[in-house]
Amino acid sequence: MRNRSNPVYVGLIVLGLCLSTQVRADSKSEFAGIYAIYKRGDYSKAIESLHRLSATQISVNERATVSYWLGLCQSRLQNYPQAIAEFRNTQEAKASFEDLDYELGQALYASQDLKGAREVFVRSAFRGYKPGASHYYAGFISQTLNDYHSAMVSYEKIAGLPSDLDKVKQLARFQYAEVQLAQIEGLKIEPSARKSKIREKVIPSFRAAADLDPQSEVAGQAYARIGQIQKQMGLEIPRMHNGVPISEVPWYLKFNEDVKYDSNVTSEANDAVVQVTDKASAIAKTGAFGKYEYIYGKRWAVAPEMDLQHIHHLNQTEPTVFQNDAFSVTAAVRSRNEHFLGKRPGAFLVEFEFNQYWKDVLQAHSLDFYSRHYNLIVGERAKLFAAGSSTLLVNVKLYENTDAGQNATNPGLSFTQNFQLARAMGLRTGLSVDYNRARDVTNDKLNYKLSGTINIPDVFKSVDASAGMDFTFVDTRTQKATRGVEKLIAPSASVTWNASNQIYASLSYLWTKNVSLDTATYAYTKSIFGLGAGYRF
Amino acid sequence: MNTGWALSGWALSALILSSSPTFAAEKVGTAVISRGKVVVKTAQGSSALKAGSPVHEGDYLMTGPDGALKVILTDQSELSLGPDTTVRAERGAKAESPAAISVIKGQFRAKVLKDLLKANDKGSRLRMTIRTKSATMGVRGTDFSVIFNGENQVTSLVTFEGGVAMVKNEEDRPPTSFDAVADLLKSDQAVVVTEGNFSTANPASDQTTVPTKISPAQFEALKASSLTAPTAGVVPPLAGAPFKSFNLLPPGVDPKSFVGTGTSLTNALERVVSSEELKNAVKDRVPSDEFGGGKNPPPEGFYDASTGKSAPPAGGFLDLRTGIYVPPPPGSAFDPNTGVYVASGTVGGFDPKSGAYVPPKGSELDPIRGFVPSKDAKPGDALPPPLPAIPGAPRAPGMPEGPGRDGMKPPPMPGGPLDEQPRYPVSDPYCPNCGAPLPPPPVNNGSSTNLNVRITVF
Repeated sequence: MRNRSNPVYVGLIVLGLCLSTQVRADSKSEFAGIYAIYKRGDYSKAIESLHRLSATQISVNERATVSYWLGLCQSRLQNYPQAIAEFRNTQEAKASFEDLDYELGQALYASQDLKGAREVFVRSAFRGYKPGASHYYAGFISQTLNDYHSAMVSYEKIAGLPSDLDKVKQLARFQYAEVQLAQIEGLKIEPSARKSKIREKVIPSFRAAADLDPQSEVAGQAYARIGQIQKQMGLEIPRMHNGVPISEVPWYLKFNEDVKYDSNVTSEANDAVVQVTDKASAIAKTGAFGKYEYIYGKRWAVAPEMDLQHIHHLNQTEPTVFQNDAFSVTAAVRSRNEHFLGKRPGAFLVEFEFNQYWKDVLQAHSLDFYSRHYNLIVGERAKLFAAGSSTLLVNVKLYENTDAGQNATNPGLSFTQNFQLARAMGLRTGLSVDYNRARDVTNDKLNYKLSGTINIPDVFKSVDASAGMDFTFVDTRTQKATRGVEKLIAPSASVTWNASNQIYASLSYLWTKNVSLDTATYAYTKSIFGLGAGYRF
Repeated sequence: MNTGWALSGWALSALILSSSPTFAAEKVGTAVISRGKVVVKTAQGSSALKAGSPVHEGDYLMTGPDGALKVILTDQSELSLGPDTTVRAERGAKAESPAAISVIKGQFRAKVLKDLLKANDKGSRLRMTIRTKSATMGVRGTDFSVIFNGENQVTSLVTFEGGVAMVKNEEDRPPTSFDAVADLLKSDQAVVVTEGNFSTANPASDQTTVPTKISPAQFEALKASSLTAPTAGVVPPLAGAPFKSFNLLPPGVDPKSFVGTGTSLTNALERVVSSEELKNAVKDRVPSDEFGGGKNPPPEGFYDASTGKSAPPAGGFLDLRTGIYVPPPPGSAFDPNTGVYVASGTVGGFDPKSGAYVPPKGSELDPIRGFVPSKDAKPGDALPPPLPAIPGAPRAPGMPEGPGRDGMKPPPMPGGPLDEQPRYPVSDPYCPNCGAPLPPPPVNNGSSTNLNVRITVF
């Protein structure tokens, strides 16, 4: 073995170290120089310089950086096969660049290696680099490859990302609708069933995409797409001359059966005299409703309708409870003249209602005639604001009761304002006042009502929800000294599961508190739990 | 319109003016390179111009389709003429006024030495003025190219170093003296085209476009090339085998949010070179902000209806033959490194040696009609998106914004893997992020013989 302390060897080692330092210093200056070339966009020259640099002695890490950098330059020059090769080299060097998968994915996508690109984008999203864009690429590639399930999975993942990716979210929602459309178009089903699916799934999906940012260009495209699909599929909505849509089916028929539990049965609100029983009962309500709408010259709509309700209290032992068993028939003709109010659509409303009510007033387990009313309603519905329609109604109701003292002439005024909110939610607010001018002045009442209901469609899949709050102030007029101004508060909530287009089931809760000076007779609190089901034709 | 050796009405008028008895044929420079067909036309007649021959005030210098000429002016400025070019040397540089060149057609490149510029900088900073039928330019800096196409009357200017002031000629009141030129170039309508940028003047628009970055890669290639090189004027087919590719981005996405940030590269380099060294390297080699630099318009382009100012999307290609700017088409990726869009291959590319724009296979760029099928076009060869009537205009004035626009096209269904990538659905092929354009105003087809610029010797 040679003596390592030999001055010749020491000199060689020192020389080697110096050369190594020199190479190191050269490569540093080379890197800086190439960076300047790269920054001014001269990618061809940068590639030349990088190739020259990689031919010198540089470290493994530096070589990986050179490969990655070459990939970037080639990609910017749209030399995608070369870019892919360089990015692959970088991968093989086990170098860590957070955007390597993304850059490789883009180059693979551009060079039409779609499956390879999708795999890389999924990995990029998993590693958290540009998750919105990475998922979108993966979704779009799957869509292009007709792999609709994977496309939907990718687009759905975007929906759960932070709100700073709203633009991508809207695009993903738009493409989700396109995938749904492609899926339905590929189904071997009857044309009518296809139409129905497109109307129920695809159109709402495009609307949902538009709702994410109604002012965006994508929203404009979504609206345009809806119009195009509707035209293509014969789904265009017929409209009145002022643009208000006409129902595709002119008739509507519904049967419903509700079972409720009322913790404190009171007489129906239609009665001039409210009677509180302080007794609980389950109640079965069976109903049927039907109407048919005739359209004349796209200006007039006339709709006769009929509503039947049967109310049966299961508590048949307590007379004050089962005396509220009833059968009600309401027949109405509702007509409207569609016109323009300024540049917006409006409708002049003329309606007539007739109601007859049978009730077990004799507490004899039989239904006898109890009351009837005639109601004439005139009003105007207009779209005063872009937010939703407004309706002003004036009505006069003539009420007849077996107790002649309750007979009344009942004029009223109401204003309803609808608000169309995001995600197809709707808020309906109302203010009404009516005066119950009874033959027996002790039954006179002046009612003020303030109400609000919010409807939220598709809270879950096919489940709609609604919540409401009513405030009623009743000026008891001649009884004011004993009853005062009664205040009724009634919050409510319900959810409806639409099992199909026809069948639905609902769950509801209503809490009511009436505040009256006459606490013994008129003040009460009650809860009503309801379970219902119905069939709509 | 015949643009060969026949002079336009404008040029003939200029010739008449120049042959007046008061014209003094003073030597303004010397030809140092003359290749192919190069002719000098004087009041006395035409003759071949050889290397070493003098060039005089009022001389028309003409190159044929294979010709190239380089002249050293008396102030040591270099003037290079590309193929099929005609210019008139109006005067050489003097202490009190700059050299003046009129471009009848074609392309030329000029370099003015920096030290000379400083030495002669008395009062006015202008060292050379260039006039075409549609624009007037004043040179402050050192290296630039001007293209004037006689057919479409488009003047385009690209600056390689320093800055060049440019203004659209007023049709009724063209500058008739150096002072008028200087005043015009100081007006609000004038723009200063700095390094890496281009501007264009078109008879159909009132103003020159706001200076915009062309493709940095093409810019570097143009800068390194020479008009007198043997390959100048030869437009080779795009290099490489035909490669069918998608645009880098799926249609309709925001290019800026889908682009890779490139921060990984900076991070990796900072492990080798300090961030300070990187900053210094860039400071030394990246174009400075002198001459209004750093005020580039948004890379998407813009149009200001109140001022009439416009800029096309940045990152496109400049065609030296027609003077037309080919902007990055919809779906082009954004390059955060250079701050411009990377024009996708659907609009062609450029020759890395000469920097010449190369149209995509099966098409060619006509000065009037834009993209047209080339002679060797095959069935199925797709033409690039049509060009705007005002070359370089980003969008037509009054373009509506927002949803619910009439005539808006629906987004595309994705094509099959081997299909050509569908283009971005909405609309304006000249603005990757813009909506549907209105029809642009008609182009002046250049058939008019009205004189927009009077040739005056001063």
